[in-house]
Amino acid sequence: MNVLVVDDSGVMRKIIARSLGALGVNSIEEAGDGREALEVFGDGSRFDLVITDWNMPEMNGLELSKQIRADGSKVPIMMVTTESEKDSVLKAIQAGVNDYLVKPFDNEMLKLKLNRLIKIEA
Amino acid sequence: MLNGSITSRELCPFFPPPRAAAGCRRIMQQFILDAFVTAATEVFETMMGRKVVVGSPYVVTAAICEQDVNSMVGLSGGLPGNVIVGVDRKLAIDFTENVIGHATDTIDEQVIDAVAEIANMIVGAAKCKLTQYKLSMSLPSVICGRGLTINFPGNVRPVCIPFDLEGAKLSLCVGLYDESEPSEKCELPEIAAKPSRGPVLAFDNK
Repeated sequence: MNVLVVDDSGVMRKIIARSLGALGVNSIEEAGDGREALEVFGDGSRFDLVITDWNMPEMNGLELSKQIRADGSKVPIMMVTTESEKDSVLKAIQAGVNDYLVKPFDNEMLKLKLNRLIKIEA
Repeated sequence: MLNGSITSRELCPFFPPPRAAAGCRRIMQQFILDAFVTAATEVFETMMGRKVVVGSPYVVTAAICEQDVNSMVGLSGGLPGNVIVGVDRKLAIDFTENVIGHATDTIDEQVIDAVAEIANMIVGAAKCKLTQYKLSMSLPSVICGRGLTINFPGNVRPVCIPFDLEGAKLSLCVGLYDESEPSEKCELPEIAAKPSRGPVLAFDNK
């Protein structure tokens, strides 16, 4: 399983990567904002999952998700953010986000969400 | 009334009740403070599994950075101002090791980034509990070292809230301008800023 983790906070990328590692996911690529993520993502064929923050410089996670969908990729996208308002969740879903994880989170919650996304992908 | 159906007790049962002692000054509504207290508790209980004990809040005329690493996040919208999240050396290092596995005994770049993320999560989580104010937040800035005095604009009464996390220390200083009716605001004792030998940082959001 290859996961792209997108967050402008290096610490948060490490937190997510560490959590993924604990769940047996060891192939992780990182990007610091949406624009960089699109470059890393390419045609998306090598990724099984994208985990992205919402608020980032250059291009935010919402725009990134829209662009990934506009390019035709069906890769599962999980938004990890402090934005927990109903309107924000709706906007994310409309942008093509498959699941939503609110910060702060623990490994159990991330595991539940990952299992759900893997099933979606299958 | 901005949110008459929600009381501070419902939002944050461990938060000490407002005090109305003589000489107290009116400050922002208590449910605003509760949002930050709840957010801070959530962050440390979820990310570190630490038991969080909330101390008694107090009003200050200026905030002194009393902790080793202090991260400041600006808010704009219906509650403009700044929130300062201070952690002592032990908590900063323990948190960093706990969440990213970076073991160190110094306040290095990773520790500073981790403290910035703590502030980002606390203020972000509080912001989501205060949706009626349509808040936007800045990226966190980090100040290392104790003793810096931070002055807020004259219309802001900053409130400091101390926490104990199993021996480690956390402090929140919430300096936001609440435009709501004074009759809705809670009252807290005011503590004059202690003399500081450090530099003074002043804000003016007019």
